[in-house]
Amino acid sequence: MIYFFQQALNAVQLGSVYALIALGYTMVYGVLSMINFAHGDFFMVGAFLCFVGAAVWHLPFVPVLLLSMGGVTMLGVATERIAYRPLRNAPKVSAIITSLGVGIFLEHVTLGLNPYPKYIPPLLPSFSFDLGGVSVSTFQLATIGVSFALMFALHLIVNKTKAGLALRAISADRAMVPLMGVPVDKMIALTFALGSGLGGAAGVMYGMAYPVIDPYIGIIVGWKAFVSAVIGGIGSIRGAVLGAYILGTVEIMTAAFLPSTYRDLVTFSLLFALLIYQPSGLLGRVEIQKV
Amino acid sequence: MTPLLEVGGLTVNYGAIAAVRSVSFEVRSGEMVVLLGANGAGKTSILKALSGLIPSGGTARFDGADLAGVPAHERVARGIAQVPEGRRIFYNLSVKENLLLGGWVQASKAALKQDLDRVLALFPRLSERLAQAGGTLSGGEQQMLAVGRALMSRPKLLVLDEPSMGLSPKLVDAIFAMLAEFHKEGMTLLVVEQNAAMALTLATRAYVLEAGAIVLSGPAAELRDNPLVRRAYLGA
Ligand SMILES: Nc1ncnc2c1ncn2[C@@H]1O[C@H](COP(=O)(O)OP(=O)(O)OP(=O)(O)O)[C@@H](O)[C@H]1O
Ligand SMILES: [Mg+2]
Repeated sequence: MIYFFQQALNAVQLGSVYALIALGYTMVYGVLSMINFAHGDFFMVGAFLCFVGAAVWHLPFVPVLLLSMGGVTMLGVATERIAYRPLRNAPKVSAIITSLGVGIFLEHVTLGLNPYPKYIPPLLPSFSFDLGGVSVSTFQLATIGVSFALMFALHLIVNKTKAGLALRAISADRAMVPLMGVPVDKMIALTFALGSGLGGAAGVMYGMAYPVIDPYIGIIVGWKAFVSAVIGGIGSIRGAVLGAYILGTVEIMTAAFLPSTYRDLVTFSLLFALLIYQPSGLLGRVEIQKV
Repeated sequence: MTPLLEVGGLTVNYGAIAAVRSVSFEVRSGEMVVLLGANGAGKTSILKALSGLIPSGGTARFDGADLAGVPAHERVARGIAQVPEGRRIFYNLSVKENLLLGGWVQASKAALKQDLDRVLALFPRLSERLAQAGGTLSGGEQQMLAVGRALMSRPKLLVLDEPSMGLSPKLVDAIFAMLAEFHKEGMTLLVVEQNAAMALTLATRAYVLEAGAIVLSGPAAELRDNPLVRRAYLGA
């Protein structure tokens, strides 16, 4: 039983990392109906900024977190401005191909600068608490605490601010939002800023759990987060978080109770099964016919 | 006095389709101007171009300033509010949120609150449904919400695209009575309508559009007696 709870804690930790990344996919999809396949690589850049902050500049946890979040926010906003905005009215597939290209570009710029894997030194004093037999590390505590705080902040922004109101309106009917006097381009930039910032934070959380990083970590982790968003219903913020914790739990529990090589097989079987019965994901809405 | 809105040689093309061909018209302060035309005549295209939602050629001056290159959201701040064809309520936002979004350009919270109260006084049905999702309102309620939402920006010019579309005769009467009331209070209106009889009774002036060009224009009372209008739009 203790083993189960220990694994449940690991599941929440992994789920939190997926959730932070999945939010970026789902928000961009929500406002642009576009899948930003470079988002996994934004996350990867966040992990490398974490390396720079921790190993090169010897900064403590909070400044490293701010560095990764700030850096990836700028990267996301710049990518939207330079690579995606000119394609806003082009066929969807052009923007998707471009995002794949941006991802490969980021991987290879990172590879050029870091030909060998990097090691991120511990960002926090490393010790564990005992919680009724379950051991909780400072890293787990920081990951879960920071993720919950960031998700709550996002919830407030989306549901309680004027900008959040505009974002929700854009997800319903982007073409009509300018008639409200809302500068849509600015709101789309804000979406990329928020999603990318969370991706940057995820890079730090991931780096604390798996401190050896290379330029390709964004591919598989990005896919998993994307799958989380799809499970939850892409475009839905609550769905992305729900999907991420489901995926984290399935992965950890599969690895805990079955040979770990089954992990991705089980994960993707689950995805197929879910999509057959619930094509728009758990909390996704059926596409509303636009008038 | 120069007109509030002055449009000259407006053109709209969709690829090879010329939907609007060199249309010129004006709206003076305090007027209610109607654009009449059959389906596909280009009415919605003109209004979209006016609001900056689609690219167009020609010139447009509003309130003494050129609109060339002014983005759509900026035009709302300058005083052009549009009630779009099909109402286009944000189905996922509550009634109150729809209204607040319409007041985006309001600088102060106090002004926003004041306008919200004013709009709700105008549409008591909406105040009973503030927390309800916009998409769950009836067609008539959605039309009221769409008008209320446009009023929230305190427009100098209120533009309406077929406000009577899809409503029961009784509601059509109510909507037109309301527009007449706005007009009487001094508001400037530009209305696109298929309901020519009703529109020509209330309007100051009218333009008749055919295949993207203006074929007739004049005081509404004169157009009402025009044989061509009577045959084509009044079923006489
Ligand atoms: N997005 C578009 N792409 C291509 N053609 C379009 C587009 N929008 C409108 N058109 C065409 O432009 C012409 C004018 O359309 P518009 O919607 O302005 O007409 P309308 O007068 O508002 O008609 P209705 O009374 O049916 O609303 C039509 O022939 C229409 O098919
Ligand atoms: Mg129309």
